[in-house]
Amino acid sequence: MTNPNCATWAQWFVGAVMAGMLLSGSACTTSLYAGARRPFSDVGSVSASSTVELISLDRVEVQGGTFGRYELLPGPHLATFRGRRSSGFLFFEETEKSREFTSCFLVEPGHRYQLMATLESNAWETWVRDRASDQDALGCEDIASLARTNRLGSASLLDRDTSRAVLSRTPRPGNGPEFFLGYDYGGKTLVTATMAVRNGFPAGMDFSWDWEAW
Amino acid sequence: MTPLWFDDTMGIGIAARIGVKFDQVGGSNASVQKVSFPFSAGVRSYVRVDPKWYLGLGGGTNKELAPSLSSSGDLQGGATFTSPWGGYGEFGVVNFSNWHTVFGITLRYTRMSLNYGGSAIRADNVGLTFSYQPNP
Repeated sequence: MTNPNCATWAQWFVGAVMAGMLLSGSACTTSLYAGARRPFSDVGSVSASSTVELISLDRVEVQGGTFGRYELLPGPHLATFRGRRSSGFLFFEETEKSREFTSCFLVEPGHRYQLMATLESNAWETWVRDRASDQDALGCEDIASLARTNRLGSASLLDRDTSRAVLSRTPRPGNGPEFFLGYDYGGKTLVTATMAVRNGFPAGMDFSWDWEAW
Repeated sequence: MTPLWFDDTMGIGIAARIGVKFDQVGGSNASVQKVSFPFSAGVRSYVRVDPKWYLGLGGGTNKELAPSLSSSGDLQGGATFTSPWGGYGEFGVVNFSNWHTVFGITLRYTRMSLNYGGSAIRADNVGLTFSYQPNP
């Protein structure tokens, strides 16, 4: 026999899970430029492959690990990351990390880029792949060469010095949920219990767990 | 929500918070528990003091929802209080561990009371909280 309430609870549960997936999915893409979100045809995105731990973009820490995706304005950018290789499983997993690498790459509008790293013969090899063409993105030397011969095609790209590149957007707190755990003390005595030792708590004293909506 | 920013150095916004507070006292054969659900809403500002550090200042109004006492063991009974609107002020610091991870420490003074049987019991308190923001 089917309880009609079960369907209702199941719907609520599925709805909550889907909402959570949508929220987590949307949180994975971060636009790293000022102003309103632009269509993807006007920007490019970069993410890390499973063997890469992203540390910073244009010298600003992002550390989305291997999960974050970041939208960037077209032009040269700097990525700092580590290569990582895991072996084993769960409690027996061992992770080997490389030193930090910094790569510059040219972002073209509408393109997705992926930071890649592989460990070959005890030496890490890193590169940035343009997923649209499945070829390497233009690197530091390519960008410098294009700039010298004025073949970048856009004056705004030439104006940007990747060695001093700074994101146009800085991280700002106070947006989104915030979770609190704390302890409050104060107030007049509300309850007194007389036992072997006298014990009690004031009216304002509590252990609190809070969730901030905005 | 902190929509108003001045040159990435100071932001002003609004915040609402809901939570649960719990305390208990007891012995070997009985115990008394107090539970309430504090709600607060107000304004909050952030001042950037370092690329990774912000000072936070805030204040507003608060109310304890459904504050009650209950007992267990050899002690039976309970009590339900009412709590009028009060106020709070807070000061703290937040740190960007990275873009998506923000940790904070906040000291909050809350002015409030619990009413029972026509009398008010002052319950002003100071709270220290640790917070985590998954910055989007």
